[in-house]
Amino acid sequence: MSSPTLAGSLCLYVGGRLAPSREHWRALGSRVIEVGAVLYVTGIEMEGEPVDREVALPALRGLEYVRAYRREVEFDVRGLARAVKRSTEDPDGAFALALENLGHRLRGYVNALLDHDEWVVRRFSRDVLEALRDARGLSPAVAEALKVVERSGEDRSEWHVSSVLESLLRWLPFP
Amino acid sequence: MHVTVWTVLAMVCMVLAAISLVTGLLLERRIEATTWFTVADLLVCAAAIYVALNGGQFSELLPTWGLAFAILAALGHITYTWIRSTLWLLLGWLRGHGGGQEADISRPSRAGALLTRALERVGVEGKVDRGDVEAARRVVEVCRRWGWE
Repeated sequence: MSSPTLAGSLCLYVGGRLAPSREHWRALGSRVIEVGAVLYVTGIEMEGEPVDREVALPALRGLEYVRAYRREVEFDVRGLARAVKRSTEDPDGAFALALENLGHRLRGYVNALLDHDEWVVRRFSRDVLEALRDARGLSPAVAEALKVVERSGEDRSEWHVSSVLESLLRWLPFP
Repeated sequence: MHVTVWTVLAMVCMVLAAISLVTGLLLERRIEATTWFTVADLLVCAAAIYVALNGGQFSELLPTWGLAFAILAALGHITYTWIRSTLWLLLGWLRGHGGGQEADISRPSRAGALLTRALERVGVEGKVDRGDVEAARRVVEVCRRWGWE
């Protein structure tokens, strides 16, 4: 799991969590959010298949933080959130919608990344992900987002019966 | 005990209640259930002392209508919470993932954001976790290493 979408989604969440402090937002949050947005949008186009809901969720929440705190970024937050939502179903439509909502500069970055070799972008995403994974013990935001994201690979078909029983048994005071 | 001592105690309760409200708002930027309970407890203490000083009974604090309203509100609240969480679990389950699985990634609190932005204007900076700042710094560092300024 080292796709640009994943790295982008985590960056969007971590950046969004810095929105409450204006000072940190200006110094770091806004830049991490931009990196996240560019990586996520690039990833949608590169992968070409619907993004897992669990991967898209941190991105959405990060954008919600930006919106709630009314922080300035070079893209339309609401529009990008719509694109992120759509990316779980229709990646092509989502990519077009995301490009419409990104600012001129960020759109340039997305195009530049797509012009590069795919492995370069993947390598960059991997480095970003590694940096974030290393910070897992430090940062509650990273830990929270990774926990959600790591669920994306899980097989959920078993949930219906066995996990219900399992969780019930865990709650009931039987040995 | 002397009346003055009780009056002072009642005032201490009120001051403590005010302090827990204000610190809850300023430091945590939200008022959690425990804070509400603390405040309510302290206010009830103050009220009990006030009533006792005036030579009344504590039950005078609960006029019939107030009691009826409180019971109705509690019933409404419990029913609403119960229905909501049952629906949430059921719908989550029907959709094929565990009910409420998505809830463990935190959402911004609108009221908190509003307050933070209001306090910003008077120079009170909002709070973020130091670890999150460090994580963001590392991401920016990676970008710089890759020549993305």
